[in-house]
Amino acid sequence: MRNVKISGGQLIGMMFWTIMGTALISLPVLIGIHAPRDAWAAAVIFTIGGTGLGLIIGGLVNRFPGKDFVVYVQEVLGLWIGKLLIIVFLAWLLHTSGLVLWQIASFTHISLLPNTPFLPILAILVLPAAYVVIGGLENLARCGQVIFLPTFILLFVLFFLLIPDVNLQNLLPVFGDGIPNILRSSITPIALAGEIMFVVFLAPYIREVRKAAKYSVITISLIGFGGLVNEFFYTAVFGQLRQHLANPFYAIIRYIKPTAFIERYDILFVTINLFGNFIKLSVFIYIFVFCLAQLLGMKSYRPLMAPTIIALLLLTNYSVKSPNELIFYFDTVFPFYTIPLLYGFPLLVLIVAKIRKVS
Amino acid sequence: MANRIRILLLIFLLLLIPSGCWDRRETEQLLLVDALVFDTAMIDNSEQYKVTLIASKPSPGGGGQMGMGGEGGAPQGAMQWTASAYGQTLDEAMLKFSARAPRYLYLDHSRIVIFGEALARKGVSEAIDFLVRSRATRLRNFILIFKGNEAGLLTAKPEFEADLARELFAILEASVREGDYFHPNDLNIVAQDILTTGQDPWAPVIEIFTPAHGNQENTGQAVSIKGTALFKADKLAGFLNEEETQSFLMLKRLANTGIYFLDINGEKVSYKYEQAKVKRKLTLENSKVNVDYDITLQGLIEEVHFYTELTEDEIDKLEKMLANKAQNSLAKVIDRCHELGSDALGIGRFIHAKEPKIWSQYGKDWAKIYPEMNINVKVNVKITGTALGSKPIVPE
Repeated sequence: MRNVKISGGQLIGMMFWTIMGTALISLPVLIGIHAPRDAWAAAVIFTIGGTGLGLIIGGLVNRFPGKDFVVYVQEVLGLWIGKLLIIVFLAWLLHTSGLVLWQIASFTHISLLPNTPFLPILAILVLPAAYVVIGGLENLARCGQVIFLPTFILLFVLFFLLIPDVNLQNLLPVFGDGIPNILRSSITPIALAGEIMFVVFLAPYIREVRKAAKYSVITISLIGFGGLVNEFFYTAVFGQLRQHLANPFYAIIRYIKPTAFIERYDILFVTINLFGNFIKLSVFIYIFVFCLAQLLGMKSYRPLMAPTIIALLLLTNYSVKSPNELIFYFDTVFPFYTIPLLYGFPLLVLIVAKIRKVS
Repeated sequence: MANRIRILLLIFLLLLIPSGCWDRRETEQLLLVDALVFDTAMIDNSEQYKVTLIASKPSPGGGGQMGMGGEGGAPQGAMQWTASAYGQTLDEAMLKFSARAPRYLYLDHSRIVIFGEALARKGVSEAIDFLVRSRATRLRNFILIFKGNEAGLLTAKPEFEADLARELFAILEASVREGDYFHPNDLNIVAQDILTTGQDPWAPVIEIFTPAHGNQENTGQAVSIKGTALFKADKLAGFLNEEETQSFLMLKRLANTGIYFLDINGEKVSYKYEQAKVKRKLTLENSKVNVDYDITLQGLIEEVHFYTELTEDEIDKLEKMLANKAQNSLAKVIDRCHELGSDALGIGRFIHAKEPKIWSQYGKDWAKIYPEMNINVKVNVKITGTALGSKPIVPE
């Protein structure tokens, strides 16, 4: 394990889709519920929140370069509190992986395989992710690297094809939704930005450890920019309709004006989503089994894969009932325990480490 | 041993692939719907939804085309397939097609949605919601309103394309830049306009007519698209004719090109604008808001029925007269919108965008305030040249 090294580009590729995966499917709907006209503002607030967390991560990583998070948490916070917090984090991770998996399966079910039962779809989607994770971090990082650039470019190309349909008046009046609504709409994006803290787990394997903060901030800025463009287009093209669409990203790609050369772009929606969320799911599963193995003092996480995947499938199959329920959950419940956990946990470790002068 | 089991497992997995897809649907099993027509009908003393499909059916035997001017309607009849179903809800009506056609209803390629006048007057929001919610229909379906009884529409024969839906689509796509008789509007925009206060929906209108000169087929009616239907919220409020549509589109900033003509001593001058620059402004007056349109038209004199040198003085005079004429017809359309109570011009939305504070007072009872809004139009006509390269042919 120790000799695996990933580059900055690979890290950015992985982390970009780790956050953007959900941002593409659920976020546009729930931002639209609160602030349809000023949705772009949520992307800005997201970037600010994520950048803050990126700096905290930088502080942590620079304090403990080359050391695993699970190990130094127990040194800093004490054996039991450290273990307890890691367990809480793992519980969060498994549950959220379930939500992620459910979300991809749901869109596959709705848009591609309407008559296939749900469980086989879940299984099909989790298999490649599991395969990559068994292969190790290097495989995952290379997948991230390969997938990142084409999907990222494609994403923007698709949106730029919609420029003729932009109606700027839909964005006016600026801040017309009211500041409270805008802040309310950005709570969930901020919670998702918290996922950038996964970098602390990957940091020991980055080639240039000192640049962890820089990579995190670059990732967050790229996502923030992507989110800004996305939200701008959803509002400019769909206006007040955007809050009524089950999946604005799917709707907007189907809305691109057919040309004589390419008539339908639907398949690109599927491509981007499947690739992106495949990375997301793999990163989640990897971090989970990796942490669990370290917590249990195991040499390799591979024996944990089978039970984890089975647990994940069962959990996913019973955790959510409908896309609306998931959106509602993401909007009203998810951020209120995610933000304290993802932001609070590294911050706590950093502060305690500073006070106790552990390094 | 372990290796063998692994290889066997792999072979087993590969065997699953050749068996094909789980729920595949072959193309020839799909009913490719080109257009959806929604209307209401009285069935058993209750008002029900009537859904009509205009679908294309692959002609049996492949390319056995009769070509243009084929004898009888047979080859064309083989292409177009229309059917109606009734239901208390739209879902019910859609499902009933399964009993009629041994094909899977496939709406992904539908390009046009038509609302009958009766349904439009009752309100289209339920149908729009159904379409937006449906997994298959695209938001880029053009919306058209059909005036009068729908039966006339379905018996109309396409004159150029294989089926009616394609004919309508072709007209919408190709003719829109050729003259301001209509402008296409799609499901996305109509749905948005229903949802937005201070902005009412509008859609072009299908008209049925009997071609005067008998076509070879001589089977009766043909379709054209002209005029605009104006809505108030989701209910049809009234129609604009071709001439009013031209002004309406100019105020909507959708104008492409159109004609204004002048009658001078019984002889006509025709002016074709090719560019319309429309500026909107809000002015405050005694705590009331007025909307001012400032329109600049640029175009050519293309046809003159009398002999003239078109000196600068004359052109100035013509410009003023044309501006006057355009201004009058624009004012008439604004009056008509007021009268129908339809804010299809989006005046309310404009105030909301520019003056959110004023809108917070206006927004609540916009429907009452709108008919009394002051909307002023100022037109400036520029004759950039004459398309008359030579002296007109006028008898001395």
